[in-house]
Amino acid sequence: MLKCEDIRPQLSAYIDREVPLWEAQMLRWHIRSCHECAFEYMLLMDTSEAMKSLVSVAVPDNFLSEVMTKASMMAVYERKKLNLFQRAMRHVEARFARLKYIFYVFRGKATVYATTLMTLVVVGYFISAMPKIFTPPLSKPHPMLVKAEVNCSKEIISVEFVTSERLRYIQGR
Amino acid sequence: MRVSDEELMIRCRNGDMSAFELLVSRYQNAIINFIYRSIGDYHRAEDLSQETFLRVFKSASRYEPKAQFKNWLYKIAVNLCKNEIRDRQRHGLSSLEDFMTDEEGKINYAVLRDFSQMPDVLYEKKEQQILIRQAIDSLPENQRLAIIMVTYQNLRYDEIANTLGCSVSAVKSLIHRARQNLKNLLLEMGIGGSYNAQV
Repeated sequence: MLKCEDIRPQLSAYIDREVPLWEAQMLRWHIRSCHECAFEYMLLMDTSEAMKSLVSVAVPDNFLSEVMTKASMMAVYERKKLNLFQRAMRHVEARFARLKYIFYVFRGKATVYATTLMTLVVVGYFISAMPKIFTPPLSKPHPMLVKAEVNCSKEIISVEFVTSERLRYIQGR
Repeated sequence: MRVSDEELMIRCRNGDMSAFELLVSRYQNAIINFIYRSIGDYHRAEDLSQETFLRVFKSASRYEPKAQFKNWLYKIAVNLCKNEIRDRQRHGLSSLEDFMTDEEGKINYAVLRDFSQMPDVLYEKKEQQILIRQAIDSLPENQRLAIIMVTYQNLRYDEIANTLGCSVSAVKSLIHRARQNLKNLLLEMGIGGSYNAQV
């Protein structure tokens, strides 16, 4: 059972849905059973709701055009500052940036693909090895049975039918 | 199909201005609101938002798509906000709402007289908004930025950690402390406590 002191610091993360599912379930159970933590949770929720009630401000109409004008001016100024070699290097770097981006995207996906493949291989191996794992190893023949076989080597009695009673009978003879 | 921000940034690096324009139009609303909520001054927020996008444009040539573009953008905005907050503290300036308080820090109701022509509900709502803004402004720098990012910008804790340059557990603690402080401040101001939350 979790204590209230352990629960309280988690409440904010619970409100923001930043706790794992199992922890969220435990917190929910605790809040339902503990009045003090439930009260605290409600106060924090109210605070969050009060914050959300703040209205957002509008973007000025000329914001985008102003930024674009300044950016264009900046681009012209930057271009003037560079000599021919630097400009050529920039161009090459920019072309390489695209390749790098494709590599990063592929690398991210490749990790997912490799992990999936590895998991499938491991699961496949276990499934194929399962009969071997779960089949009991061949046991040694029963010592009595071996003895019976030795004793009855010249007899006509088949080993399959040898029971302890029959063995005793054979030995008695 | 929606082109990713990183793809647009690469195009911008290649000198495509329309890609940069698309990026600005995607994030202008979020960035202006984020900066406004952090510093509490609309006109300064507008300037700083422009500065944020121009810094993005300027450093486009060095951009490496290792992290999400959004996180990088917020990191620039956060740095500008921190500088502005520190400047204001150094020069004894604070948000515009500070002009609405008296020396003891209580609300100067005379300033609210402008809204007296409004219906009661609107007046109450306006007053409440000012009080909430004040409460947010009174939080320490990092707590304020973290709670704004989680509440208004809907960023995840790991994204906030990346933006603020700290661990996820530190962000968790920052946000919890911010909410606790806000709760106490709002209760003192008589806001909240309607107890209508559902588990």
